[in-house]
Amino acid sequence: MSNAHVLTPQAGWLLLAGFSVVWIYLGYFWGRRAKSLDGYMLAGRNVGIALGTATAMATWVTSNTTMAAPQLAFQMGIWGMIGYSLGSMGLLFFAPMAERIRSLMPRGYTSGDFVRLRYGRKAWYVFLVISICYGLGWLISMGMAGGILLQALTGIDYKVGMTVILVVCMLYTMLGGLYAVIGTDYIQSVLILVGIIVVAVFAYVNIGFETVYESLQTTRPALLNLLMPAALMFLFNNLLFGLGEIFHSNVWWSRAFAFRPGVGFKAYLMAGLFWAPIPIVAGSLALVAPALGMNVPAVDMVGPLVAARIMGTMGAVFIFIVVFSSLASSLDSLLAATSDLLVEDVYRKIFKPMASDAELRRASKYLILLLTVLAWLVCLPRVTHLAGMIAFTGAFVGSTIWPIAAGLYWRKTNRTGASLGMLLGSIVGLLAYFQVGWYVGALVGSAVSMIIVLVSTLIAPASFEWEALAEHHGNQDEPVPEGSTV
Amino acid sequence: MTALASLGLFRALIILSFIVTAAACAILLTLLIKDWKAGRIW
Repeated sequence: MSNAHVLTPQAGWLLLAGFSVVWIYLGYFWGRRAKSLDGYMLAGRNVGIALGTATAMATWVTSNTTMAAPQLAFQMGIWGMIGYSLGSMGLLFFAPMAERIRSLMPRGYTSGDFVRLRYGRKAWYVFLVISICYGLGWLISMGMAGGILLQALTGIDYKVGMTVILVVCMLYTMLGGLYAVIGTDYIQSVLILVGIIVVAVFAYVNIGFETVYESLQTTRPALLNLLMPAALMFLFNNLLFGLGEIFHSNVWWSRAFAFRPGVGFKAYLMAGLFWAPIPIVAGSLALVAPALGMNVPAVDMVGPLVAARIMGTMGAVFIFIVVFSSLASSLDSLLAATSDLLVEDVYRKIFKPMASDAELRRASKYLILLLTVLAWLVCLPRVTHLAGMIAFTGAFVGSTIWPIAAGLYWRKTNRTGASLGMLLGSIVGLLAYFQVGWYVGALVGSAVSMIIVLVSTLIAPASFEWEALAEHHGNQDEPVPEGSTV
Repeated sequence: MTALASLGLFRALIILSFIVTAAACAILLTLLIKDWKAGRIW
């Protein structure tokens, strides 16, 4: 890895300290707006289109997009990039769902609220296990990515870098709640877009499409193959992974609750369209490596290595900013949304139904701290490649696609089918992950869950009343927001 | 089986992704200015 240290550790620390101070100050600054629980957990339920679009896009641009997309391009070529890009379908399909969620549940807090009210407590327990496992898996994946990035570019020790990034995100999320998360997401989304486009355009303008293409043809023709079976399998798997992740995760549901009525559909639609090219732009960097005659010591570092090679220190700085922004925009969202899930679904619903807003806010902060510590402990040993790490959770999220989507639109979907679909889908999907490969977990999990949900609905159709979703908490005194149907 | 992407297809895919990414950035900035002027950021 020594040839990747384009920035000195001192430069790395300088950048890290500068951005950390800015994010933490903004967390404090925007946190002053959060005077109620709705303010802290859901940014006042009145987020506009600009911040709404940016937060949906930036959160979905994870470090996996900016680091694993080049890795996949380097391993699976063109279909690796396009397959990753299809992750945007989750955002696009969620657009109408976000509007419906906001309308059916004007006082909702979490995706867990929906599953509990729609399918009852057994399905809710299964869902909570899946969702919390997924949240932790994603957190760990990004904590690891943070450590890897710092070590690759600056030589800062993996454990030290990982710790700093986790702690910074924890601090500003604790200080500002969802206001801080969404506000910083906007700035981070602009940094990501500008940084990635500058580096990629610089690479292709300087090296040339013909040179890159001819080099691939000569040294790695498989990367240009449009019929690579593993890549095609990955493409469908990633499409389903994106759908499952976004449909079930409280990261996306909390934004649906936080957006002003009428904003959800447009924000998620634009976020999907803006996100789609990013894995291709990031992946295109990796395809330059053969033309540069580069020896890539670890495939999960190919993106930063190429950027540093073609632009020198400036490239390293750009890629550092892009990946740090990608990491922070997702880590903060995950910390906030997972702690919301634990506060609302576990603390309030199971242990303290009459907890005051102040107690819930305090619990939220402690849970953000606990999640950070847990993620940090698992991140300490660097256990697997980035793509494999996040793909491990594919079986879980794939199994939630049908119970969530059918439950939102189809009165007939029943409780047993939803519970079994999630449970068996996860188990069989995990078996496929270990027996077949990391790229089929979501595919198999969603297929099994779909069959169970459809067959059980046909055998024993339910008749759900949508009004049952409009839960009102005992300590909510404000009127129901405008734009709700119930 | 192999079917290699042509240079034209390869170039078109990457240039298109560059254009959409740059446009996304411009639209996000425009939306923020519009929301700010209308007092509808939060």
